[in-house]
Amino acid sequence: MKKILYILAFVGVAVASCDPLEETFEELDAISNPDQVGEVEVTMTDDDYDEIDNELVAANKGFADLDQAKELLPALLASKFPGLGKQSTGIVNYGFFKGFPAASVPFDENYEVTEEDYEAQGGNVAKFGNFSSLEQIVAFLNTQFPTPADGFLVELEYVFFDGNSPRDRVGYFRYTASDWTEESFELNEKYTVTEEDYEAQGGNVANFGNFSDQEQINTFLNSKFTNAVQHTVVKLTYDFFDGQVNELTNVFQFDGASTWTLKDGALISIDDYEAMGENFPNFSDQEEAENKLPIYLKNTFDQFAVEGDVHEFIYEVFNSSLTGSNRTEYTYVHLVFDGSQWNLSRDVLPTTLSFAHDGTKWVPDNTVNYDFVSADFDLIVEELTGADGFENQVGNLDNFGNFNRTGGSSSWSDAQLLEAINIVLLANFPDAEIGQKYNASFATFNSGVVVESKKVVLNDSGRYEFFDESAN
Amino acid sequence: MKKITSLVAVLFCMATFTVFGQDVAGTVVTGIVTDNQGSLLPGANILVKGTSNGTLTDFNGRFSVESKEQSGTLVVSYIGFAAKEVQFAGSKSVGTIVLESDSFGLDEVMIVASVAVDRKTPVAVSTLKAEEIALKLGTQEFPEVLKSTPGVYATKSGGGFGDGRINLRGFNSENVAVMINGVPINDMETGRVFWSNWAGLSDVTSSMQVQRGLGASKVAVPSIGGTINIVTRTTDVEKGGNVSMSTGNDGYQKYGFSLSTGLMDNGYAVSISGAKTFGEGYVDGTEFDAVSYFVNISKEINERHTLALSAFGAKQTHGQRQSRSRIEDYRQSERGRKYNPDWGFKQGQVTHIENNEFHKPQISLNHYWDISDRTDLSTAIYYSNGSGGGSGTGGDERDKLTNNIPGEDYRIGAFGPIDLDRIVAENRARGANGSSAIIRKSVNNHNWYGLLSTLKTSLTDHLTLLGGVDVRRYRGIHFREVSDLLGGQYFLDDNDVNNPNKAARVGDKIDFHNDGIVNWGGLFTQLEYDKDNLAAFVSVNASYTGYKRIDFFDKLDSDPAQETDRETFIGFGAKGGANYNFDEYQNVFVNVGYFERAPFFRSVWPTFDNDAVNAEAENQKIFSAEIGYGLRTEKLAANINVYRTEWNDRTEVFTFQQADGTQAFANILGVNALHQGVEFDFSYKPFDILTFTGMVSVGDWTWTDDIENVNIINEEQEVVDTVNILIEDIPVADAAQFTSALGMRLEVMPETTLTVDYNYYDRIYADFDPSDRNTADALDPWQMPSYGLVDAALRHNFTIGDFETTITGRMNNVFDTEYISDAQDRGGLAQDALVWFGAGRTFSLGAKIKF
Repeated sequence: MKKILYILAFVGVAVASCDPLEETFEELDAISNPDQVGEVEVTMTDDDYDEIDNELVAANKGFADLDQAKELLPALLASKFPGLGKQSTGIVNYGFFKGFPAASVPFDENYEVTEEDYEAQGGNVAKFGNFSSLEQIVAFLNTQFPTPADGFLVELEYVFFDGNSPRDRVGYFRYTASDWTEESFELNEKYTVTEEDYEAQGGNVANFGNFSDQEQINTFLNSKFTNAVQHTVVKLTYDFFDGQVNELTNVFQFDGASTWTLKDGALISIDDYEAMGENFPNFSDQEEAENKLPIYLKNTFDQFAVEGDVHEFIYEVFNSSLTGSNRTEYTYVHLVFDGSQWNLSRDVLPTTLSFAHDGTKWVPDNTVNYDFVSADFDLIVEELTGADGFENQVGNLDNFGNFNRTGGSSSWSDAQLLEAINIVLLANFPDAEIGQKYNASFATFNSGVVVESKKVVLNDSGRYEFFDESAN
Repeated sequence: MKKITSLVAVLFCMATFTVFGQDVAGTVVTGIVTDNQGSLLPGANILVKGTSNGTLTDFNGRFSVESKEQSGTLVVSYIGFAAKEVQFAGSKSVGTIVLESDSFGLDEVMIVASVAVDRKTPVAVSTLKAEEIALKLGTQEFPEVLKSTPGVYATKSGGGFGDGRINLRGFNSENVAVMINGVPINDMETGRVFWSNWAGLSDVTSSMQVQRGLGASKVAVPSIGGTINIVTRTTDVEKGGNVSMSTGNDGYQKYGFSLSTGLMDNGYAVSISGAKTFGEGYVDGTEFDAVSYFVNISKEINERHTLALSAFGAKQTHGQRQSRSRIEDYRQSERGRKYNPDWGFKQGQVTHIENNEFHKPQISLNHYWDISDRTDLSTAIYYSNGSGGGSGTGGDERDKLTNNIPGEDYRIGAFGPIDLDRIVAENRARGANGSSAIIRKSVNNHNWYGLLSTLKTSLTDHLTLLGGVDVRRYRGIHFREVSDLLGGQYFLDDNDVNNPNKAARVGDKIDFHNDGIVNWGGLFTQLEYDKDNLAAFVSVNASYTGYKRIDFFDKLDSDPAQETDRETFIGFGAKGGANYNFDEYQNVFVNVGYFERAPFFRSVWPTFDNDAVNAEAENQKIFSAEIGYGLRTEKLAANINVYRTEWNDRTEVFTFQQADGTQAFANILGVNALHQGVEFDFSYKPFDILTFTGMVSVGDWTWTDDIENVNIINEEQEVVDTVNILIEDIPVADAAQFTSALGMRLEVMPETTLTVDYNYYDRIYADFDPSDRNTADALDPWQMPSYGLVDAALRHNFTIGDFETTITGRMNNVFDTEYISDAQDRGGLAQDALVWFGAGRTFSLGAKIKF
C-alpha cells in the first residue's frame, strides 16, 4: 500500500515539473531559421564545365565573356551547394575560352529525316527513301513544320540523290514569307583574292590592285562572303601595300554583323606544320594540336618570351567526314607563357567572379568583404577626437578597441557607426566606384565581444550609406 | 493554473500517507525543552531510559511521553546539544529542560553572531541546522541549500565550483550581509561575497540562519535584503571523529575526516577536520580541485574565561564558465546545457581560459569573558588573507580566445573548444614580436584584520544593554599577471610608467597594479527589553569608512601622488522592533529601521585614476519596515510576514570631461527601488515520522522613478550632457519574484529518512543595468520561463561493529528538467538574451563512519 502511495506522490510531483522551456523553444523555432550561411570557393574543372547549360561553354571548357559567366554560373552554384541560402557568398574561378569559338549556323532547329518520314511522303520519296529535288524537300518541310515562324531556319539532315548516288547531306532551309528556301553558309573558308575581285571593288583597290587598309578588306569580305555567320573564319591570301606590296595570308573572323577582325599572327605556315611533323598543313585532331603547339612555340618562336606573354593560333584540323575541297576545320588556341613553358589559356587564366545568395538564387555580387583592423580603429579615433557628440564613444573605442553597443553613454548609434565606416572605407579604398558595395565587419561590445557586419554602398555624393538587402 | 493544480496534486499525494500510532496506557510525562538561550527546541528526542518508548518535542518545544512505569528517567537529546537525563515520578510535568550545546563557546558565538531567538527576536527568520545541511547539500553550491527559504533565489551561475550566488528579496550579495561567527565577510571594496573563497564552509557549519530584512545584527552591515548568519562548529566536547567519502556525477569525489580530542585534562580541546574534493564538473571545462581544512582549539582558562582559536579555509582551483551564450547556441551545440565557450585544447589537454583559484584562510581568536553574573564581554580578533585570482584573456588579439575574429574560426568544430594549439603556433610565428593573445590572471590578493568586541550587560531584570566596537583594516592588492604566454616569446606591456615597454613573461605584472586600502571603524549599541510577553529592542550604529588608492602602474614610484589622500565617508543606522507573544501559540512582531550606507570603493575612483576622485559620492539610503505573525501549535508552525524596503540613491556616477581635459564626476541621485512583499512558511507534522514543509514568497520589486533630463554642468556652467535613466515600474531583475516550495520528510524506517523537495520559481526577469536604460521605447527586460525542480535525499544509519555509519544519497533535479537559471537582457527578446542553463540531474552518494 505504501509503495503505491509513494509512486502516486512521485507522479504528482512529476506532473508539476514538466518542461518549462517548451514554449521558449517553440518561440525561437518560429523565428525563421536562416538557411545555412556559408562561404564557398569553386575552381572550375572540366566536369564543372560539362555541367554548364551551354554546349559551347561545355565543349570549349571556358566562357566567352564576363556576361556569359554571370548568366550561367548561378545555376552551377545552386546545384553544387543546394543547402546554402541567403547571405552565403561564393567565389568562382573560371577561365575564358579566349578568342573565337567555331562558327556555327544559327539554326532554330535541327532535324534528321527518318525512314518513316520518307515513307510518309509517298511517291518517289517513299519508293527510293531519299529526296531528289528541292520541291520534295519543301513538301516534306511543310509536313514536318506546318506553322513555322517567319525566318525559321531548319538544319536538315537527309539523303539526297544527286543523279549519281544517294549521299548524306546537311542542308539549311529557311521559311520566309510562306516559302522555304535553301540557304548556304560560309563557316570557314580559304580564299585567294583575284584581280577581278580587286577591280570589282573600285576606287583605290581597283587602281592599285591591292588593299592598303583594314576597311578595304572589310568591305571586300562583306561583299564576297554574304553567307557568313558569327565567328565565320576566312583565311585570305591577298596583296597588301604598306610602303611596299606584300602578299599576305591572314585569318579574318566575322562578328556576325559587318565587321571582320584580323587575327594577327595566328596562322601556322606550311613550314611550321612540317616542322611539327605533319605531312599536310593541318592536325589530325584537336588533341594533337594542343599537345604539339605549346612545345613547338617554345622551341621555335619566342625565345625571348616572358611570363604572361600570350600567343594566339588558328590551326586547321582535318575532318574526314567532310567532302569537297575544304575538308579542314579551323580551331583556335590561345597560349600563355608561364615563365618556363606555354600553357593553354583556359588552364591558366582563371578569372574570379563573386556571387552572393539573395535568399532565392545566386546573383553576381561585387560586394567586397572588409574586416576592420587595429589601424582602422586608430584612424577612427584620430579622426573623431574632438568631434561633437563622439566624446564618450571615442574614449571608449580608444580604450577597448571595439565599438560599444550596449546602449549606455559611450555606445555607438547606427548613425555614428556609419560615420566611422565612412572614414575607414574612404581611406582604404579611395578609388571605389559609385555603387560599389562593402560588407564591413568589426568588433563590437555588447555584453561580450561580438562581431557585427554592416553592408554599405557608395552613393552618388561619394559617401557610403547603409545598403538594405531586403529592398533588392 | 498549472501551478495550482500541481501544488494540489503534490499535497494530495503526500497527505495520503498513513501511519499507525502506538497504543499504550500508563504514566504520561510532559515538559518543555529549550536551549540555553531560551529558544524552544522542536524535534528534540525524548526517550524513556531503558525502553524503546520515545517521542519528539512539538513546535512549542513540548512533549508528552507515555511510560509503563510510574517513575523513571527521561533521556533528552538533540543534535548539537549534550544529552540530559531528567527524573520523573507520576503523571505530571517535569518543567523546562534546558539543553547545553555540545560545543565549547557555541552559545557565546550565538550572541556575537546575533542569532535570532524564536518568539523573541522580532525578525523574519529561517534556520538550517548542520544535520539538514549534511543531508541536503550534496554537490550543490553552498547558498543553494537555502533554496526553500522565503525570499531566496540561489543559482549556480555559470556552474563552476564555488561560483554560485544568492539573492535575498531581490537584492544581490552587495546588499546581503553574510557573516561567519558574527564577522561580516562581504568584500571591503565591492561588497560582494565570492562563495568560492569559502569552499570548505559546508563541512564546518553548525547552523545557518537567514534573517530577512534588517536582521538582528547589531553591527553595521548592509542588511538590505537580509543577513545570512553562519555559525561554524567550535570544538566538540566529546572525543571522537569520523571519516567520510562521497562520489557523485561527473567524477565528483570527496574524502574527509574529522577528529576531536574532546575536553582534555589540561583544559584544552582540539577539533580538526579536512577534506579533499575534486571532480570534472557538470558543465564542460569546469574541472575543480579543493582542499579544505578546519582547526579549532579551545581552552577553558577558568570558569570566567574561555579562549578559542579557529582557523579554516580552502585552497581551490576551478575552471569556470564565465561567458553566457544565446539559447540557440546551446541548442545547436552538441553539448547542450553543458556547453562552455571558455576552454580549449592545448596539446591534447583541457585548458581553462576562464578559471579561478583562491585560498582565503580565516583565523580568529575568540575570547569570552564572564565578567560578572550580569555582564559578559565577547571579543573576536580575526585575520584573513586571500590570495589568488581569476584568469581571462589578454593581448591585442585576445579575441582569438573567444573566437571573435571576423572571418576566422578558432574553434575545433562548431561550438567546439578553442584551438589553443593554433594560437600557440601563431604566437610562435610572431617571433620577436611576442604573443598577441595570452591568458592572463587578474589577481585580487587581500588581507584584512580586525576586532569585533561586544559587551553585554543586564541593566535590570528586563533590560539588557549591548554595545561594542567593530574595527577593521583591509588592503586589497590588485594586478594582472601573465599566466600563459601561449607560445610567444614574451608579452609586450606598456602600462607601467615605472617599467615601460616591458617584455613580460609568466608571472610578470601587466595592465594594472594598484592597492585599495579600506579602514573601517564602527560603533554600535543596542537596548533590549524583555518582560513577560513583550520583547523589544532599539539599536543604533555609526560607521566610518576611509578609502585610499595606491597606483603602481599609472604613477611613478617617486611620485607622492601614487598614494591618494584618504577619502572618508560616514554611515549610520537606527532600527527597532518588538515582539509580542499573545499566548503560547501566537506571536506578532514588527521592526523598522533606516540606515545610510557609504558608497563603494569603485564609486570614489570610477575611472581607476588616482587624480580623478569622486569625493562627493553619495551614501545610499535604506528604509525598511516589516510586520510578522507566528503560530506554534503541537503539529504546526507557521509564519507570515509582510515587508517594505525602500532602497534609494543606488550609486550612479556620471563621468565627463572638463574644458581643461580633466575628468569630473556628477553623482546622480534618484535611482530608487522598492522591494515589498509577503512571505509565508509552515512546518506541519501530522505524525512523529512525517513532516511537511512549505513556503510561498510573493515579491513586488520594481524600480520606482525615472530620471529625466538631468543636466550635467561643468565648471564653466555649460551643460555638458543630459542624463536620462528611464526605469519607472521596470521590475527588478535577476531573482524570482515569486518562489514557492513544498517538502516532505519521512522516516521510512527508524533509521532511514527520506526527503523530497519541490521548488517553483516564477517572475524572473533577465538582468539589466538600470544605468543603460536611456530610451523611452525600450522593451521591458525579457521574462524568463518559470520552472520547478524536484530534489530528493535518502539517509540510512546503521552500525558496522562499534562504529555508527551513515550513508546518504542525494539527487538534485530528479526529473532532469531543462531550465534557464540566469539571463542577461539584450533588448527584451528571448532570442538575444545571454543565458546560463541550470544543471540537469546530479547526484551524490556518501558514507560517513563515526568513531
